[in-house]
Amino acid sequence: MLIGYYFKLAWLSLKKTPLLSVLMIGTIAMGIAATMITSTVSIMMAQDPLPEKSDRVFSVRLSSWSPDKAYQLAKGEEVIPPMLTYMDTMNLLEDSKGLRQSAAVMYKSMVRSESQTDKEAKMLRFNSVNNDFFAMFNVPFLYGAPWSDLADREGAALVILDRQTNDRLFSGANSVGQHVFIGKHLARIVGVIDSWSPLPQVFHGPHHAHNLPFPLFTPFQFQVNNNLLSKGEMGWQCWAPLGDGTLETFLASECVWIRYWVELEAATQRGDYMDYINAYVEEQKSGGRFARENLSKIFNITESLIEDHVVEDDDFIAVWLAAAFLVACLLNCMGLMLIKFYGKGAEVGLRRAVGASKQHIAMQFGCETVLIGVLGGFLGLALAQLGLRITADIFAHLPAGLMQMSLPLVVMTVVLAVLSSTLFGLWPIYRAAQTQPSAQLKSL
Amino acid sequence: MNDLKPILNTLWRAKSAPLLLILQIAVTFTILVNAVYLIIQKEALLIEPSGLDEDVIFTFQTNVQSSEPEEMIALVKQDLRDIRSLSSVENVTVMNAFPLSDWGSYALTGLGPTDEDMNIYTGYYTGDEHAIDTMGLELIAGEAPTEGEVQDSIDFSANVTQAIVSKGFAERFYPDDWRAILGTTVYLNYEPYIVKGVVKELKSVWPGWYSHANTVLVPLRHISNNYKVLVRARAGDLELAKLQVVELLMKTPGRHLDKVMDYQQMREDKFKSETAAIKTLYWVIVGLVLLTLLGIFGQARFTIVKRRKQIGTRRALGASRGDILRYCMTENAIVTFIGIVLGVICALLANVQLVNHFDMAPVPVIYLLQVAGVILIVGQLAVCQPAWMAARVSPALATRSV
Repeated sequence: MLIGYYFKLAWLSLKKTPLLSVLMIGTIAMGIAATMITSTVSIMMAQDPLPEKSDRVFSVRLSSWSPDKAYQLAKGEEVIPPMLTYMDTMNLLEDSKGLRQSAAVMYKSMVRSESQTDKEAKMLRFNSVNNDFFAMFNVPFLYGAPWSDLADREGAALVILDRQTNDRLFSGANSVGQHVFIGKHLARIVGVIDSWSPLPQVFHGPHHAHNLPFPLFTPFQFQVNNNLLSKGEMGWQCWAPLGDGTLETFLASECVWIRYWVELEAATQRGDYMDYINAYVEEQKSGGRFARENLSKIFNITESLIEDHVVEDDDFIAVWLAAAFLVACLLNCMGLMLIKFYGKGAEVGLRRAVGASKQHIAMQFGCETVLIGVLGGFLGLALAQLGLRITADIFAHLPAGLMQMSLPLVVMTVVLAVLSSTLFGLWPIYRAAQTQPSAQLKSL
Repeated sequence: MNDLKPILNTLWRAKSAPLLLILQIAVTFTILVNAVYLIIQKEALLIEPSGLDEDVIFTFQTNVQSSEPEEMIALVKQDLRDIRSLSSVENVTVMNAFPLSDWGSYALTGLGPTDEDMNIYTGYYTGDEHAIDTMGLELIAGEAPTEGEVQDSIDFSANVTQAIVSKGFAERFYPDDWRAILGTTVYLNYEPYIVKGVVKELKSVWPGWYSHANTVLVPLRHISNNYKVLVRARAGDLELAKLQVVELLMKTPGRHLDKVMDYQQMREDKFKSETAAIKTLYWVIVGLVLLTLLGIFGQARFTIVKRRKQIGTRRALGASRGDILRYCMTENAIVTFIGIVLGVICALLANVQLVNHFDMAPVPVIYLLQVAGVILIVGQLAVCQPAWMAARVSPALATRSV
């Protein structure tokens, strides 16, 4: 086979013109690295956070808004609130029609262990959820387990810490059974979760999509019982004025503030669950609520990412820019190849004169192009890794998990480099193969 | 200029290499224009004034050590009095949110109570009688609320009947004479409010929002278990004021303090992703300019190596070094120019796509011209060395066989 010989020739030829070779490989590597960095970040930002069940975990949204006015209009279509009222949350939790269901609200409070003083307390943010939440979103436990159904209903003072908080307060020991103060409430630790960074994070809505999860979990009812609402930080909206500022008024109002998630046994049960929701809305309508047209919907995780605009348009602009940049790099490389192959005119003429066909010449230069592509791809991969490090520094506010290339992306990088450089090498190869033997031999 | 015809002829006869360069310049130009434009748009967002005297203000959130409404109000008022009496503090106010904070409220607004009238959303702020002074807003019409007009409220529950509006808001409803809004009634969430004053500038919490310049400030002392305070330090005492306020508040048992931040920190926090995007775009631009330099440089060297014999002949026939230099520079300028023309077309097409898909404003023509100028200069710089090489070709070369 001549292929091996051609690769040897290609290698020699690269070494003969080091500056030109470095320029070629370098430009390809630059373009590939830019494209892969932006693609990695975009793909990771828009990835599926719960691939094994994203089609059967749903965000429930009810048409509970004001009779006079749509909640929001987007492109002329009415949008319904992404959150539920306390009444509806409690009713749906009571019915428990799904396999698992959980409310999700954030709040914040000062937290300290029993041995710490008031001064050492830290302001931390909480996930206020039901006990089904952990199984629904595949939260891994290091120690302990979620609280019981009874504790869930009663809103017992129980808490689950994340690994980091457990390391800080209990030096990483199994702290189940110990206590921490949440504000002035003493709460017993029932579990510690292992490292867990769902990306994007869907359950608190788009505002927290690219944050790491809040460090602590307490029963939703515990938050309500103790009026631990962070109204200056959580999302809440009302369409009717609140009479007074008491918790009772707020809970009985039509204000929406709770995100509600349900997991079904199979995606095919979606219709049944929707029938149940519609029946529930009808029932409430007869009770004088839900005055608007019933637009209630359930969105599975994939749909809710789109509905809530978690995927930023800006990411795609970056990918397009990088792709255009790659094209500019490849054009540059193509020009350099033309130069390079032109310089080898005499060699080609000689080979043609002693009987090589055009195909042979094309093959020889094709091998050289592939070699440049492979080298460019590997250098590009190295540059992309370096670039992702820099990107992780620049985008320090995003979780580092976004900046890691998966194996398919690594393979794609090299393949893309080889394919694109070969494609852009076709023209220079064609030109080289067209060399007339006679013209070159004359001047030798 | 008598070089023009031979140059064009030459380009026409050996198209492939210059054509590649033209394409490369066109693509580069397209990216550059759109990247520069993105940067300028994002930077405008970063430096947009909020209307506040940002260099002397810091904010924090804290809790009330009680859950009885009466007692809560008394405690908050006491906190405010204590803070105001500090030597480094000029003024202090309690608000529901402030420009650039992460969280805010809006209200549906109109000149009448019916659905047809209520057609825009407006940024909604609450503040006490010290809010305007603390923020350093310029009251350009009407008057600020007095102490007696401010109501205390737990979680927005109160019945207020007056408001201060931003000039942007006034112009939105009274485009011909914004002063006409004084004393009229506007409706916020279907409730009537009498406009008592107009401030020159007070932006909403959401930069880039369509209604960003339209805000109302309602005389309420908004109290919750996580109420937000804005402190105006005396000039030059910002850091001292922060220290003193934190020290003072932490004397209270059970006190929580959160997000003690001055405006510089808030800006950094708010615009992290924009700042990161801008940095990335700068990298893109640097990379592109380098690439163009290299590309033009490589091409020029190549053509000159190819033509050494011709150049020698021209020199032998009496062309001066200057002539050769000029020829090379002109040739490069022509290629770059064609590339730019093509680039303008591509850039406009690409921008139309951006406008359609990403809701961006179209690129102003001035940018196209500026970027074109930059690329021309870069091209001329890149061609300097090869052109100089060409000019140094000895006339004797023409007499040799190779």
